Amino acid sequence: MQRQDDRELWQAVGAALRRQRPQPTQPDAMVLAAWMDGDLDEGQAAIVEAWIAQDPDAPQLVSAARSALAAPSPASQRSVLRARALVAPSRSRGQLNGLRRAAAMAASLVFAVAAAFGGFELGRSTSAAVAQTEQAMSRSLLVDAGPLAPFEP
Amino acid sequence: MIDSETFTALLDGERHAWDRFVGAAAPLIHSATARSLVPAGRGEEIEEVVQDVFVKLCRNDFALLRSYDPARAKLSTWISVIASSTAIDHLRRRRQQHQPLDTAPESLVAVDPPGFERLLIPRNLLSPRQAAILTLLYDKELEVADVAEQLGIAAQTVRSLHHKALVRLRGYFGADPPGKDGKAGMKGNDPT
Repeated sequence: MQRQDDRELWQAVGAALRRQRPQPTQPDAMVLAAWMDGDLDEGQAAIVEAWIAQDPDAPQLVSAARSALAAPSPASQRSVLRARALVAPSRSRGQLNGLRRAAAMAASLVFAVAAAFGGFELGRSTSAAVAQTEQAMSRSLLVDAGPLAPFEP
Repeated sequence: MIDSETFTALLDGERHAWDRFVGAAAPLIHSATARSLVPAGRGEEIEEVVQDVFVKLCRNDFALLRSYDPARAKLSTWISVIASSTAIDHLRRRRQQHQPLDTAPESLVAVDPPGFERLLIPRNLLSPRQAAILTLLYDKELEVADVAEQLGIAAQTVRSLHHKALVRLRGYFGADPPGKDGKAGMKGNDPT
């Protein structure tokens, strides 16, 4: 009988309180996790507790999170493989950095080879040009001098 | 268990850190998801929701994982909350898609009992925790042990806060409590 009276008393008071107080919204995951770890102060904890009391899904959410922490259960191999495939190693940042380094090294190598080859070709063509010039000059000197006269002492 | 080295390596972009993270976090995520979906009769959707959780964690260059603050909560607690929240959101979407209003649980469509529109409760008559305990005990009809589990406190604390709350309410309303015959008590009547 007393319990029934208490229930009726609370139903009246609870209805009035719901009208007077703003409806609590779901706290973000960080706040809820801090509350579960017992790291919230009294005021912040009261906001979380009010949400648990009002939101019909809240008790299930908190209970599932607590149970999972107490007893994790193995996931299927398929779940694990699908999750791993979400971030392929070839697309991971570490791999991209490695590829960038390799590409930079390859580019440097190509540049060095091209520069060496270009330098070699430039040197070769310059040498040929010089040789041709020297030959031309020699021919010109011989022609200008004409045939050698016999030596007369 | 997810070690901090793996977590740091993941955010630094180390090649195989994501694989290690998935291996360590999958049992926790699977368990939180299963414990949300199985009681609702949706056990066959566990794998789909587990995948949703991992997508949430890795998208936008691990933006959600980067928002985790180790100074505020344990990583495993935070991940279990992310997983169970994702599962509950999944159930809410399914309810909205498939459930007509007339078959929704009463708690979702319940209205306050009539007759107390003018009842005003002083702001500090009950603490938020006392109000939460009375809501869970009387509106949700949970047992003391279940309330204690929900709030992460001792059953004895629940009993004590419940008792003090009722003493305060009875003391405030005196001989004319609200609730009888759907009328507000004298003290609760709005003087206007």
